[in-house]
Amino acid sequence: MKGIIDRFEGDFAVVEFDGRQIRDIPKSELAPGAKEGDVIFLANGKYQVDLAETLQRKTEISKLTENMWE
Amino acid sequence: MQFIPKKKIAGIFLALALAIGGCSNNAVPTTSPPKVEESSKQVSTADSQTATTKDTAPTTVAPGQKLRISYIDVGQADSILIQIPNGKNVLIDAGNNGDANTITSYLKKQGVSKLDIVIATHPHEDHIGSMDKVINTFDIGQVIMPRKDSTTQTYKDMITAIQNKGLKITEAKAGLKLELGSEVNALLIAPNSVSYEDVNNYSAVLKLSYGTNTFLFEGDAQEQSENEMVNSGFNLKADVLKVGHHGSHTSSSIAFLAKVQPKYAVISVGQGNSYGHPAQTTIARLTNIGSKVYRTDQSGTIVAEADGTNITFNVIANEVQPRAPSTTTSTPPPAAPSSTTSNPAPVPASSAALVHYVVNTKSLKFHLPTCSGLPTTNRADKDSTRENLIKEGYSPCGICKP
Ligand SMILES: [Zn+2]
Ligand SMILES: [Zn+2]
Repeated sequence: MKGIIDRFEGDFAVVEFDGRQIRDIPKSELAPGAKEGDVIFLANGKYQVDLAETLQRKTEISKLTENMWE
Repeated sequence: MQFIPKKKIAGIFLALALAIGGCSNNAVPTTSPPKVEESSKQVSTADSQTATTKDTAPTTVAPGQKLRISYIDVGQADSILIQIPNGKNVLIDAGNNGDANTITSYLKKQGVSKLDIVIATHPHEDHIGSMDKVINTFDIGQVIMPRKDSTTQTYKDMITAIQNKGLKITEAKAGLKLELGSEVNALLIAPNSVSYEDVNNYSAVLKLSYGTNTFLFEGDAQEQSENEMVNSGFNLKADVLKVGHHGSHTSSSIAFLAKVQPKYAVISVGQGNSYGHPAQTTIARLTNIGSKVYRTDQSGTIVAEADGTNITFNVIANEVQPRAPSTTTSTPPPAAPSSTTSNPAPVPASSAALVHYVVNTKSLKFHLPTCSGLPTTNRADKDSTRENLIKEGYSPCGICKP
């Protein structure tokens, strides 16, 4: 199951999973360097960053908001 | 028209008496002076001084008319409704994903059908979680948010809801004046830069005046943004401060609070949250400058009413007391009656050099009570010595290094 890091709070990454379910993941379970906005997936006991999907979402959302600013 | 019954005012007097009577442990925690980010662009002083006199000056209000501000209890999140006597409504943030019902039913109960302005302070889920549902449920005039995208579905759904209503987004930035009629002056005083490393610093910060009553709403603005506000020339002084970032230690810097000088501080925070919000240091800073602290985790939804001269709260004033920074052997102050976490610690036979520690009974770490990483679950308070705790199998926290 993939998730998206919404934010960091203290020792936790707050991650949005499918259906907009929010869960706290201890930072220690994240691959080093995982950032806010990254798409992550569990592999070998750690959450790895899916770079391609992260980039795809960023592009998609900036396109979506492009013409929405006054 | 009163929708929420006024509760006992006795608590307010008690709290006042306590405040005047004075607790003597008012030592301000020492920190290094705030550093201002050199790279950040700042509003020129000339501009902002004009803005100050023009935009946050007292307004003329009709007698008997009340501005009503509801700090809605949405747990570990933010959602604030501002109702102006002229009938205009502003919503700042919309809680977590699961708070849609709480917010929409609260708004409907207050007779709200149109939100003239909706502010999404910044794109974190605990601030925009239910914004899509709010936008779908009510008439929306204007949407204001900082120009910072998120990749979450929560954010995408909010943007889609705005789009489906044919609305555009106004960029939140310092100096933006909100058009809400002559009864109030409403001005954004942050963000003052266009790019931040920490998304919390993008938070739109609103300063509101009604008569001579003033309110400041910080979102999750942290020290970097607070320093920019301090240096911006905006008049930060406010009667009521919605404390930044749920009372986290990352916000409420001493320099900022010194400018705001809030008589009242409201912390929107969830009971037993996993993040240790609010920080004891924040509570201590607020009480040390004489603020009365209200917390949604203790009071539920907090409603402030301003008549242009006086502000009243319809919650029992919880006198939140800081725990003494107990790195020494000084006797701990009496626990505040409202404190939810203080259990009378067992007093060992020899109380010679006991220090107050907070332990995590699961991870077996022990912390100073001022630590930023205090446990909110499996927490216990102990008056003990370092040696004894280690003997009992506890190890010192890596953050506060007790
Ligand atoms: Zn935030
Ligand atoms: Zn927040």
